[in-house]
Amino acid sequence: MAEIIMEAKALTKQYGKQKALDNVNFKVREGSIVGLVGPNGAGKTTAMKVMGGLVFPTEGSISIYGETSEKGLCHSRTRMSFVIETPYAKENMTARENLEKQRIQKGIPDKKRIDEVLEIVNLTDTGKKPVKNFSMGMRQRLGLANALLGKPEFMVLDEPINGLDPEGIVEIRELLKKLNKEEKTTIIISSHILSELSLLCTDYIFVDHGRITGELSSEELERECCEYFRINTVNNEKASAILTHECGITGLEATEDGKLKIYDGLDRIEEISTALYKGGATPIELCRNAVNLEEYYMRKVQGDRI
Amino acid sequence: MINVFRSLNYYVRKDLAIVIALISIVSMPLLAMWFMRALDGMELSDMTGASYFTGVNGDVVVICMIAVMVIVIRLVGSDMSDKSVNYEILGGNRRIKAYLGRIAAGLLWGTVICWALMSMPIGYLTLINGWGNNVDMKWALIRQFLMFLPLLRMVSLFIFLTFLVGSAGKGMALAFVIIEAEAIFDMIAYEVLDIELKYAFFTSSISQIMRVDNAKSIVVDGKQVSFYLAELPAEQIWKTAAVSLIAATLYLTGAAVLFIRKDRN
Repeated sequence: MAEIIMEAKALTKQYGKQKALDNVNFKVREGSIVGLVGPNGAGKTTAMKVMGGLVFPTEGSISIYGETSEKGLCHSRTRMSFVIETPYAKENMTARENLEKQRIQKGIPDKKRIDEVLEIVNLTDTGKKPVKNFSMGMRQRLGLANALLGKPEFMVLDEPINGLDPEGIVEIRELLKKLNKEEKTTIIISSHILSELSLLCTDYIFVDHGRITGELSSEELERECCEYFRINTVNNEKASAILTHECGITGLEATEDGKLKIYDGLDRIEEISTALYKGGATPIELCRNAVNLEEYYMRKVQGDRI
Repeated sequence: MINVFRSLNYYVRKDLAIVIALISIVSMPLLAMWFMRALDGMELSDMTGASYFTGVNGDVVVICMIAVMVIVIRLVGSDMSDKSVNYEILGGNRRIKAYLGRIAAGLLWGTVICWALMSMPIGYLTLINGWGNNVDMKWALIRQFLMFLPLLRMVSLFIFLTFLVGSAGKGMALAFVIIEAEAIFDMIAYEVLDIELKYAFFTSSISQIMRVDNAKSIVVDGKQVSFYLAELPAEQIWKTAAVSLIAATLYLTGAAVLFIRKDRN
């Protein structure tokens, strides 16, 4: 079993009357890639800010690499890197100058490291272009370059693929996978692009209204993400009644485009299609699918059962 | 702490506004000397350390306050609005150390270097044309060195204001309003109420030290020259020093509380 390198205990952060984090408990295993999943304002960024020492918790504590004191946590953070909210960037400086300033600030002696990280994130050809003329994607890459500068053991990334083009998203995903595999880098990542998280993460933490609503590993998610049939008939209203009353289907759901989804009775599909045909709701589409992270999340948020 | 300090020193070279402000502090005396020559019909050889000190030094120092403001506030606050200051804490620096590194850079550039740049003309004119006969060198130097303390007070206030509003732009606007408001209050107090506010404001403190207008006419080598009486009462020296140091300490303590205890969003 991998070592726990970060643990949040009863973490609460209150802004006025509003609780951004409410008694949050979670652990991060060494070498894992943890996806923080939740809607805007769920508390993901606040949790990351507490990890980074930007925000003081109202209650509870955090332990990183076994350190809980302020001094110890600062020391632990030297082994980490963060991209939180705004990627690091001084507008009037070039990418190289930005990284040079950060290299000095982090006390990294090797100047060549700047070239290495610029190459990793594909920003070698920006020359004298100041950051103010960078696209959102380029800023994200610069933020990641800064995060990689100190060869971190543990990265905390808040929406790092925001604004990246599809090619950039794939590059960053592969880079993070490589770091995780080859350097054993632990990563906490939040993103609204859930399909991306599902291609990357080994563990998921679901956050909503400042609370952890669920935690599961990618294996557990696979088990949870059960299969279903998507059905479209000539009369879906009638089909819905037949499925419920005649076929005894309990896991029935209408999709946004008016089609139907059934989650049980999947081994009786011949019997179901015959019943629909005989009942005057002839099937015109019958397709077997599996729930992905996005659907799992939506169902979880909406409080439906899988 | 030292790394934060060094990274800010690196930043000074890269910030165009700071570079322009530094250049203006260096070039402002040259411009003032050119005006002095044009208005008084002085020869280049008459431009001595003493004539500069009594002629334009006080005005140059007051005008340079704006440049000092730009340097200090840009240096300690330009990364507050873009939140890149957060990366000092995220990088594992303890807040107190990040604060001290930041303050050290602000004080170095805002007081030590700006004071040195503002004092430079007295030095190079004395080296080129000698000290001259317009003022006693001892008292001129005492005044010039004493000016460092209200300058420290002013820079500390700028740092506090920047930490308070969390933005270089807002900080500069607020500092500018304060400089102007102080100047107006000082003027009203002096002109209307006949009160000399020697210590209440940093602007009045600086102008009290740098202003030398009590002169008598003396004859040196057959030429008539104005000799300015620059002696300062001991009470004014120690009160200026004490008030400046106390105010600077209060401002920097306030800035520390804001930087160390406040959540950084």
